[in-house]
Amino acid sequence: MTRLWLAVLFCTCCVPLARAQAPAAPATPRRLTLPGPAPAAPGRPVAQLQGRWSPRPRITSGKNFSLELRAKLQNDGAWFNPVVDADDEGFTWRRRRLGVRGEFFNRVEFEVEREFGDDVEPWRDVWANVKAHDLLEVRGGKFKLPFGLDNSTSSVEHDFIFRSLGTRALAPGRDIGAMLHGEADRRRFTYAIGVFDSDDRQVADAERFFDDDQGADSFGRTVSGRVTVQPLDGVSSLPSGLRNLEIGASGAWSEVAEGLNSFKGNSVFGYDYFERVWVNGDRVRTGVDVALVSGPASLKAEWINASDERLGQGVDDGDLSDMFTRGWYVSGSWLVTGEDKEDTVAPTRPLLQGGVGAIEVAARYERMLLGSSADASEPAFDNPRAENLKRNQDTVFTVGLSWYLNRWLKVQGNAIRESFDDPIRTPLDGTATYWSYVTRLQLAF
Amino acid sequence: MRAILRVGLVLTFAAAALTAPAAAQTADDLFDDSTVQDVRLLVNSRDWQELKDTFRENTFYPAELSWRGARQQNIGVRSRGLGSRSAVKPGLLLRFDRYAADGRFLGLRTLVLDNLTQDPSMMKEVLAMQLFRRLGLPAPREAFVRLYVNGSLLGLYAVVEDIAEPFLQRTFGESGGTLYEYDWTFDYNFEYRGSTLENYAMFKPQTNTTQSTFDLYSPIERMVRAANDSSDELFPAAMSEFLDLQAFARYIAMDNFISDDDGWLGFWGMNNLFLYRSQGGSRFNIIAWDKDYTFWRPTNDIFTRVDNSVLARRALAIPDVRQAYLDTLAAAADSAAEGQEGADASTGWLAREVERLYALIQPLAQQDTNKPFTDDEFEAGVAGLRTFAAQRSAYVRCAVANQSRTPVACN
Repeated sequence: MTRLWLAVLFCTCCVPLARAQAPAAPATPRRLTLPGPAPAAPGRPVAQLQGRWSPRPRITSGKNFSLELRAKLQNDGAWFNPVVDADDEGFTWRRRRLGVRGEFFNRVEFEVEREFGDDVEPWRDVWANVKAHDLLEVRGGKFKLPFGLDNSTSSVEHDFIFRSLGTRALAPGRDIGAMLHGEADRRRFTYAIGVFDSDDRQVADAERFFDDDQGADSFGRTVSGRVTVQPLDGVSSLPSGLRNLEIGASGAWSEVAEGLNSFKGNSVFGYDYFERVWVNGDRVRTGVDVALVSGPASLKAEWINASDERLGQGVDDGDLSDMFTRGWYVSGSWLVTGEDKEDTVAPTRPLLQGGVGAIEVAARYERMLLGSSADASEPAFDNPRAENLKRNQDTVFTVGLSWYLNRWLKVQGNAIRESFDDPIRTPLDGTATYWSYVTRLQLAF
Repeated sequence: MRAILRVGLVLTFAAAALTAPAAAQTADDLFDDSTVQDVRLLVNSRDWQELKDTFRENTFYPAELSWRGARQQNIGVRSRGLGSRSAVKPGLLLRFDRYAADGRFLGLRTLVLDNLTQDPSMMKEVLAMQLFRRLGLPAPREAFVRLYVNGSLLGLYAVVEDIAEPFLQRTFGESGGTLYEYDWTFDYNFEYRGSTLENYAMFKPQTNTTQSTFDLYSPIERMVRAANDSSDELFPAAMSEFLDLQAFARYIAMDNFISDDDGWLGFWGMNNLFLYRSQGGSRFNIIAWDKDYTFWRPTNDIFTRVDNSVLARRALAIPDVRQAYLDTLAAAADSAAEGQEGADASTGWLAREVERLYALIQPLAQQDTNKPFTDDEFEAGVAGLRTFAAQRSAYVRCAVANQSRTPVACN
């Protein structure tokens, strides 16, 4: 935690430096930089504090300062067929978060967020961000590593109750570090690259019920980055719906300490279908994604691959073939009530205000495969030091319905069909197909 | 073209001939005690160090086994034993089905590599099991092993047939029943511990483990209750539902013949045994296990600690059960002395077997620098066995005869 606060302090201390070194306002400041605050003229009145409630509680003082309160409350219900563990059925709090986010002089942002359902590691986002230029911002503290489309989408804005399996298992989670990021040409191009202390949680936060039995020492320093482009934006000859196409690419490198520290195969509800194996060496994660949002509809697809070295991990102390973990999905959504698909869907006619809210249907098909890149002629085993790891794959199909009662309240229902290639390594030995029915009630602002 | 075909055929047959020996090996070959088997294990050096560092734990590690050219990948190995656990020379349990449910080696699911650390002579375990089998009592097959781990000689071990489905199938003709391993936790002599089934958890189920606590432990509780609470009159009938008392008498007679201080009639209560209740049957069979604390006193009283055990005391009070007990002692004495020429006890089977095993393992025992005793202690241990072999049969015959005559001094 000390390092976390030092990182935040570092970024906060950068403010005077950033201001001193800020380039002169260019001719098109909107694209390249945000102007600094005008110096207060002698005798000029100091900006008054102002407050507002919508879309979230917020106080501002001109351009000098703003502070807003944020909250996420999510309660999930789950039922299964067949039932693997009856204790997992019923309702549970998934997120109970409260945070503040603010800004000084249009240059320094910060956020502090706490999860009240997690006594062990309650702090989620704790960071400060200094903006020197549209193309150059520096963020320090604890926050989510830049990687992947699904991983970068807030849980309150997601089309489904759970992120894809590949994202949950493979995308780096939050950690302490520093990141350079920026954008150009009205977000036609964005980038982010950072160095982080340890990627000890492979995926973020309490959304994951995956077994998290790996200590922080199991993973080393991580470098992670992501770029996105909108190659068709501005191509007037194309239909307007295609111009929003965004393509992203992500990569992450980390050192993984020797141990049973590989990725593992977890079903949607966290049951093992592929145990951890011994790894040692570099972990390389790559991902590509594509998103197209047009009016009320959206299409998304993402592919993530992780490769773990297994140096010296054979029973004879020899090197083993790399282990791979691969996940991909294709999903689509449609707001049947006609609203535009935006990050935060605002119903045109909210419930109790002359309408029924907004209704969205969505479907996703995804797969997650674990194995090794050994020669296929090697016999495949499922012991954690096998040259050829016996593969197993989870195939998941999800259909979902989201009901946006108003800007802040959402009710979701998902039906999830899950099947495993290896009928022995499943939540219930010998049963390869499972259905889960999940609901979520969400209040977020 | 024909020439090519001929060459191909010859090569095919040659290859088959070369691979045949390994493929033709059987469990009988592995348990052939006329020779010392060379068994090689490959275990990642980090795992091996961890196994030794945490030798009290039962964590499995992946390994590979080689024996006579046969190679078995994908097996699990862990430290094993109770008092014999060792960081220097760990006793090992090999499980061939640890990482694959259908994993087998020579038809076996598991193997025990006994580290022979509790017996300076290193041969009591093998010798005792031989004697049990000679008398027709269920006991595992064993042989000596020169064990190499990652290319280094770890020491002299005994490979022991694990008490599991293949053993049950071979011994009882079926393996669908429930097998219990007696797990020593306190000094217990078959006293009734009340109707709470959890009180009998020292009988640990090894098969049918998914059955309910009631199904698993109720027969044990009822057997112990019958042994303790039934009247003398009803005792034989009450026990007959659970145990063949004559078979029980034969088992404890063998324990006493070999002067076992850690068996059913052990110093610290009962220990080192399995119970097997056949599928569809109600009676328990007793299976011998871990007999390395034996062959102590040639003049060990033939009723040693019988009175300590509720079941043994009451069973031997029944005349025909007592007679079965005495008959077994006499048969064991005869078997141990088989082939004896006149008064020369050193020519009896047990004495000859001690010498045969000594010749087999003596050089290896000296090479075994991980054994927890000196070469002199090894020699002294063997000398003790020679004395036992020379005197035990005569003593037991005398003591048994005393039961039906005016007792005379036996020595």
